[in-house]
Amino acid sequence: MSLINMSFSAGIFILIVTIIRLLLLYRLPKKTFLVLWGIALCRLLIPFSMSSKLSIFTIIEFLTSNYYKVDMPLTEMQIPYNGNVITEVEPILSDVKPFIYIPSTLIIWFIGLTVCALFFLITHLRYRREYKTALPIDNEFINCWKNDHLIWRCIHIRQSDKISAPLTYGIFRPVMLFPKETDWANKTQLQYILSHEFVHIRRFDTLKKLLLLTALCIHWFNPLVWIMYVLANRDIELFCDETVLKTLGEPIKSSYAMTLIGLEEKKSHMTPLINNFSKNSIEERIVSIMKMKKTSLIGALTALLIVSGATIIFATNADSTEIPVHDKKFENTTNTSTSYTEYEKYGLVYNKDNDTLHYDGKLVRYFDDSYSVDESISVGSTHYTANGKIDVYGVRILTDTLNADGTSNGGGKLTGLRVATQEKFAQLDTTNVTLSSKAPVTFGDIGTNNGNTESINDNSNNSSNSPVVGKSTVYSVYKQYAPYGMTYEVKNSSLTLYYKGQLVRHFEDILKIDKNDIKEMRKTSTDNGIVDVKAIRDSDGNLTGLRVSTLEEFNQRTTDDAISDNAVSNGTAQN
Amino acid sequence: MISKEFNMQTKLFDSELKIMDVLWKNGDTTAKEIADKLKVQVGWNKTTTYTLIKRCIDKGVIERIEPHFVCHPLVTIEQTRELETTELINKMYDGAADQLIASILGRKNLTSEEIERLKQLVNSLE
Repeated sequence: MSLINMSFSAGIFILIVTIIRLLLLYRLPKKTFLVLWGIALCRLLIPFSMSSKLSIFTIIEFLTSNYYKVDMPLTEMQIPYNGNVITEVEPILSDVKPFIYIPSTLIIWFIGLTVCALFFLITHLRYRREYKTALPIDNEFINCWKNDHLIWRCIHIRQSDKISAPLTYGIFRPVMLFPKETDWANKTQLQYILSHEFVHIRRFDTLKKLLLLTALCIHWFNPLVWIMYVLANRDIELFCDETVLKTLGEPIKSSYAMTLIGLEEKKSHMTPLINNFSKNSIEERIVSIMKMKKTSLIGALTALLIVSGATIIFATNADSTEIPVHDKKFENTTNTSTSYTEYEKYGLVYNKDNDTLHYDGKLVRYFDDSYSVDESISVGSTHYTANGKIDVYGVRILTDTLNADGTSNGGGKLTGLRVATQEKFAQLDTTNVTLSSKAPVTFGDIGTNNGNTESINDNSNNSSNSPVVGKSTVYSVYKQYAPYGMTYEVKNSSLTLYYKGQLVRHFEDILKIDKNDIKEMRKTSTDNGIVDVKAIRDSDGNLTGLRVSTLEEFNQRTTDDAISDNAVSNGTAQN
Repeated sequence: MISKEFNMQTKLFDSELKIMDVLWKNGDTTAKEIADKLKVQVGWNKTTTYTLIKRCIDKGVIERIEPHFVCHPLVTIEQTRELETTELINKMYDGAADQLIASILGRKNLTSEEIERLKQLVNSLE
């Protein structure tokens, strides 16, 4: 997943968490928000993603799929007519520029990252240097407290005249710093401060802040990440307060709150600029402390529900495996298996999992829907399963039919399926058809004699203009026209089409026209073609035939082409 | 060598006072020795101590003598005390020194030695 992608989808999640926080900050246990921010951090820092059918992105895709062609894998793109060359482009591996090209956005991002990182790093190191000059504390209460609260890491407690409020730093060797002006006699206050800082140490809050900072530096361009940084830091404090109160007991709420206010007053002497900003956060803390109550079971369950719900819906990616069936008519699968959907209405069922066909409940042995177009070319599809019980053949109208306006429809329309007689079933020479038991035999394979297997990625013949033909994509796209009489040939990375053996000049297939009159179509052109062919689809978008232009239409097109060619060379052509 | 005029001494932080303290108690010492002593006393590492010594030099309260990076204090402890006391009097006692004295005398925790020293001081002033 690209960085922008990650940042954007994490941003959505952050937005949701912010809204939840706005509404339910004082009603949910503070741990909830830390878990949510943790998930946001994962989304920002870890490229791993999980997809889910309930994801908001799946829903969005589902909604937009009704308006757009949805099955556009990122490797396939349709580009407009470009000379006598194909319309499908695969990622160009052959066109390597002589120098390494770094997009300017990457450079800008890297500069931003460096600036942020340096800023935070230098500031932190400066402070660290000052903290190191702190002096030890000689206080009985504190020494006792230290002995009562031993953890595997060594905690140092010192004092400094350069700070105005107690703080903790260090991940592996935590140090608590008290300001010089601390009232050493006020044991209660000391206890609150010590407990609070101790919770920070135990929960590795310094590490959490570091992770937040890292995410911020990487995603510095995303304002939502800045919001997350601010809110998550506040939530760390709130959770700390909550834990302290749980440990020391709820009744000390007011006393604890007063201590906080007192400390905050001292702080604002030194930093008047941040006054307003921190007023908000101190307010949150006081309110949160006073409103704190024991976590009920209902509260815990609600929290769990909200976290799970928010995560599943907003923190997962779109599930791209199942697209609603009514879009399948536009499917351009890049796999090489035949689509058997058109046979379904005649009773043939294809089982994808074990690659078998069933007709009328029986397992089909040999399925043949192919016919020869030329002496050596045969088009269509076949399928073979050794232990099948019946043979099924496709039935098509092979002769041309005439339309009312005099144009002709090419033959090939599917009209039904036919089960072979017992006699024919027994007669079938199974040794000849074994090769199709794994992959269906289609015209592309049969074309070996025509030199269709020429290497496609022939770099030497490629100018920078002609995209490389992907054999599999051409194959899968053009085989659907095969039953109607069209074959293709790929030579020197360019595609040529033949209709009933005649070289096709212009081929057009209008896939869809939406309400804004935007057409989605497929076009191919070859300079010396002798027929123009248009594909015909019904109102549902299913391919029903191919139509050859009349002579008048063909000549008209010739004239049109000449005009637009002139325009191009004159520089007045419009796309 | 230009000696810095002691008109307005810059405020020393606690950490810097600690360095001066070593010099006031032990006379001129090398930087290395100061670092060793303070490592034991307060737990500072060498870098920290050296940074602080450099700051003191910049503030004009320590002088560096080569060879061996010997440190020589440029202010006496009495000068510093006076500075701090004046600041205290101005800040907390409205500039009235006697109020400070009264406050000290009013404290109930004066030891017998302290009382004795005070008596002698008063006598010497008369």
